[in-house]
Amino acid sequence: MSWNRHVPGLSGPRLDRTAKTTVAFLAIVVALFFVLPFVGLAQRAVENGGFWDLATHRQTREALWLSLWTSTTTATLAAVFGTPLAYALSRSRFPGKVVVDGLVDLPIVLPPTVAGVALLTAFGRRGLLGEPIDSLTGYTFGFSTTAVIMAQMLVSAPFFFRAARSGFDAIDPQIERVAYTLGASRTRTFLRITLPQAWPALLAGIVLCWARSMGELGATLIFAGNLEGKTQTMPLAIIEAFSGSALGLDGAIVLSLILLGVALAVLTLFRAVAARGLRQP
Amino acid sequence: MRLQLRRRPSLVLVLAAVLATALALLTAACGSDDSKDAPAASPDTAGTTAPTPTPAKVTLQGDITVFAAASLTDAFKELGKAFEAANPGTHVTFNFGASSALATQIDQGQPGDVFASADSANMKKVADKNLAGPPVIFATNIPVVVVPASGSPVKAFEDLVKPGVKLVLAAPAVPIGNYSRTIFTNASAASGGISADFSEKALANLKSNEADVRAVLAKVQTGEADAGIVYATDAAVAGAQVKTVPIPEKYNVIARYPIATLTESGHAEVAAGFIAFVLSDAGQAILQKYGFGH
Amino acid sequence: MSLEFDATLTLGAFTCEASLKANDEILVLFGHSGAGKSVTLQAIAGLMQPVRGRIDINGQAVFDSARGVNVPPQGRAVGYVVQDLALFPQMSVGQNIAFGMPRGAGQSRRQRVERLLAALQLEGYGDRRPGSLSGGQQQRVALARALARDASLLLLDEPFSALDESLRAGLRRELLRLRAERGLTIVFVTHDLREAHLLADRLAVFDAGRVLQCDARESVFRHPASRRVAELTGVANIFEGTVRGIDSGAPVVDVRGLTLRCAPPAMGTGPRPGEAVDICIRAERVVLHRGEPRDHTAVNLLEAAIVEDLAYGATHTLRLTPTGAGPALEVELAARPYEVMGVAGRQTWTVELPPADLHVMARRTPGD
Repeated sequence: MSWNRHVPGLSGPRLDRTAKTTVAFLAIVVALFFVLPFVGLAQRAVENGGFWDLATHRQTREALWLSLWTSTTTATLAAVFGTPLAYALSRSRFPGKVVVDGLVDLPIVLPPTVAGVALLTAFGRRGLLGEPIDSLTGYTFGFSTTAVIMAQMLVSAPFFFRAARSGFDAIDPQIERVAYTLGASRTRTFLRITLPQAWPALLAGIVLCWARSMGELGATLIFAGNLEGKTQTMPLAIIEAFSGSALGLDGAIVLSLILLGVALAVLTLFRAVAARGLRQP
Repeated sequence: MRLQLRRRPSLVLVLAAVLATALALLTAACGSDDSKDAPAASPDTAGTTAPTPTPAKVTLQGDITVFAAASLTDAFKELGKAFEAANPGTHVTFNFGASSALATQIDQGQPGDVFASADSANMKKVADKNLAGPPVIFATNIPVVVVPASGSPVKAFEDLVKPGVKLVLAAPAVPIGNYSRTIFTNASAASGGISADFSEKALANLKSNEADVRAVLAKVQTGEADAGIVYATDAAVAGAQVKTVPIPEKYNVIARYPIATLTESGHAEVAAGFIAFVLSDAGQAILQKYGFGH
Repeated sequence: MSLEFDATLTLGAFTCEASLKANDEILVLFGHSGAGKSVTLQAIAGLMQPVRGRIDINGQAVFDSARGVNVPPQGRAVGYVVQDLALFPQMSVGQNIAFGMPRGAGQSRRQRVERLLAALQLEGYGDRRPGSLSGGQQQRVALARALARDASLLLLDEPFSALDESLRAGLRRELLRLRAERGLTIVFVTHDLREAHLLADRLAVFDAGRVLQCDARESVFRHPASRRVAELTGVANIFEGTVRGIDSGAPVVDVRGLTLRCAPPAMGTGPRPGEAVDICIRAERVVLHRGEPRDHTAVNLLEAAIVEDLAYGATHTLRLTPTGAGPALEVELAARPYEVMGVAGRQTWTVELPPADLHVMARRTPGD
C-alpha cells in the first residue's frame, strides 16, 4: 500500500501503517455497502433473463417516458423561474433574509410524503386553492400529469435554487459593477457576464433537480396517484411491480436498472460537460 | 428466486464474510435484549387479562413478526396487545401492507413468523414455495364502495360508470384490487349483469392504482377521489368521513383471509400460539368488533 | 475634462460627505480604509446613489438631487478599475477590452483593441485568457478595458495594492505616461501615502466619512488644514502652542517655553495673539547642526539629545529630547548626510526648525 509514494512533490504527513489498514478496511466496508446492492440488481437481472422483454414492455416504456419528460419539464421550470429569483436573492440585502433562505431549503429536509400531503391541503380538491379552482372551473389537479410535475417541483426545485444561489453568491459583484460602467445594461451584464460564470453551478442545480425528480415517489403517490401512462413514473412503477403488477419482481429489477442506467448516463454526461467548462477559463 | 451468489466465488466469499461478520455483530447486539427479558417473565401470569385463555398451557416466550394485510391493521393491533397480555413472555411486531407486497417480501427472505393475507392467491404464492405452513381461513370481509361524505356523484353502485367519476382502486395484484375487478366482471356478465361494458366503463374512470386498501381509503377520505372500493371493515374505521355504498350481493365477492406460520420462523411455537389466539373466541371477538366475519 | 463632486452618501450607519474638484489632473482620494474613498468613487461612477448633492462630469450634471437627475453608470462614460480588477474570466483579453466599445464598425473595433493592447504593452496577448496573465499584465488589461470606452475620466480604486512593490512602480509610471498622452482626468483611491504623493496633482484627505482637505498636493503636505490632516499625511512633529504675537504677518508661537517663529498663513486671516494653536513640521524638514549654525540669522534653535536612532536603510529616523525648553522632536535624515555629519558619533545637537516649514493650524475643539 503506497498510494502517495509515486506522487511527485507531495510532502507533508503521510499515512502510517495502522492508518492505512484502517482506511483500507473502512473503504472495503463502505464499498460493499454501496456497491453490493447494484451488483445484486445486475446479477439478478442477468440470472432472470428476459431483460429485453421487460425493458420494452408497454408499462416500462410509458413509465420511463413519463419520468423523463416530467423530470425534464420540472427541471426546466425550476431553472426558468428559479434563476432570476436566485439571482435576486443573492444580490439583495434585507432583514429576515436568513429566514427566507431557511424556508427555501425547507423542502430539502422535508419527507416527500409531507410534501404530498401539503400539496393536497393546498391544491387538492378540498385544498385552499384547489377547492375554489374546482368549483369555478371544474378542474382538479389530482390524478393528472400536472400533479406529477407539481409534486416533483416542490421536492426538487430547492435543489436547483440552492445550487443557483451559491453559484451567484460566488460571483464578485464588482465584476457586474464594472460591466455597468462599461456601458452594459443590467440584462446584457447578466447574460454576458453573470450567467456564463454561474453556468456550472446552474447546470449542477439543473442536474440535481432533474435527478431528484426522476426519483420522486412519496409526494407523487399521495398527490398524483398511480396510473399507467398518466401519473405512473418509474419509481411508482417499481413499487407497483414489487407488490406484484404484471411486470412482477423481475420487472421491478429491470425498471430499477434502467433508472440507474439513465441516471448514470446523465450524471456522467454532466461531469464531462462540467469538467470541460472548468478547463476553459 | 432466492438470492443466489454463486458466480465469482472468491469475491462473493469475501463479501459474504464481511457481511456475515457485520450481521453477527448486529444480531448479537439486538439479541442480548431477549436473554435479559426472558427470566423476568413469570411462569403463570397467562390468562390474567384475557377473558378466555387460549391453549396457552405451555408458556410462550419470544418475539414474533406478523405480516398482515393492510385491511387488518386496526383489528390486529388490538389482537396483538391482547395476545401479549395473555402471554407475557411474547412480543408481537406487525408489518402491514398489501398482501401482494408482503408475499414478495417473504419471498425475498424478509424474516417473519406469521402471514395473514387478504386473499388465497397471495398465500398460495408463499405456500407454493414451501415458505408457509398449511393456511387456515380466520376471517371474511365484504368489499364495499366508499365515497366522500359529501359531494360525490356516486350514490349507487351503478353510478361508478358515470362519465367523469374519479374512481380509485387498489392495484390489480393487491387482493382488494383483484376483488374489485372481479366484481366489475360479475356486473358485466351476460346474464343478470348490469351491462356488458360495465367493467370497461368503470375502469375507464379509474384514476389511480393504489398500493393497498388503506391508500384507496385515504384518497376517498381526502376527497380527491369520488369513489373507491375497500373492505367494509376499512369503511367502518374511516367513520363519518366516508359514506358506504353497498355492492349488490349478486356481483359481490366474499374476501377470505388465510393465516399461516412461516416455515423460516425462529419462534414457531409463538407463531402457532398467535394463530391459535386469532382463531380462539377471544381473537374472533376482536375481529368481529371491527366488522370481520367468519 | 472636469469633475465636480459635492454630495452626501450613506451606507448603513456610515455617512460620507465629500466636496471635490478635479480638472485635467490626478485627484488622489487618500485615507484609511473605511474613510469613504471607495463609496465616493462608486458614486462618481453611478454605482451608488448619494442621498443628496450634485455630481458634474465635464460641466454636465450626472447626479443632482435637487433636479432629480441620476444618470445610470452605463451613461456616465467613466472608466472604472477596481483593486481585484474584475476581469471577465470567460472572455479573452481582447474580448475584455472590446466589451465596453460601442457596437458596430467591426474592423475599427479590432484595430482599436490592437491599439490599446499596444498602448499598454500587451501585444500578442489579445487571445489569451486573463487568468493566464501575470498580475501586472492583468492590471494593464483592466486599464485598457477602462480606456476602451474613450472615457476621459478614469476612476481607479486601489488598482495597484494587490501587486508587489516593483510592479507597482512600473504601473505608476505607466499611469503617468497615459495621463500625459491622453489628457486624462484620473480619480485615484489609495491608502498608501507614498503612492498618493507620487501620483497626486490634487489630494483629498478622507477621514471617517469626511473630506478634511482637498487641495494641491504640496498645499496639503506643507500646509495641512488641521492636526488630523497633518497626522494622516505623516507629519511627525505636531506641537500644541499659544500665539504670542504676529511679527510682520508671521505668527510667533510659544511651545513649552520655546518661542518659535512660523510661516505666515498660506491663506485666510491667520491666528490671533493669545490663541491656542497646533504647529507642525515634517520630520525631513528639521535641520541638525553641530553647535551653532554658520548662518547667524538662523532662528528657532534649540539644543536636543538623540534618544533613539532607527535605521531604515535609505533614511534614519531620530528621536530627540530637548536639553532645555522646547518639544520632543522626530527628525528624518537621508543615509548619506547621516554619515557625512557623523550623527552616530554625537549625542547632543543644535536643532533648527526653519520658519518656512513651521506651519500653524487653528486648534479645533473636538466635534467642531
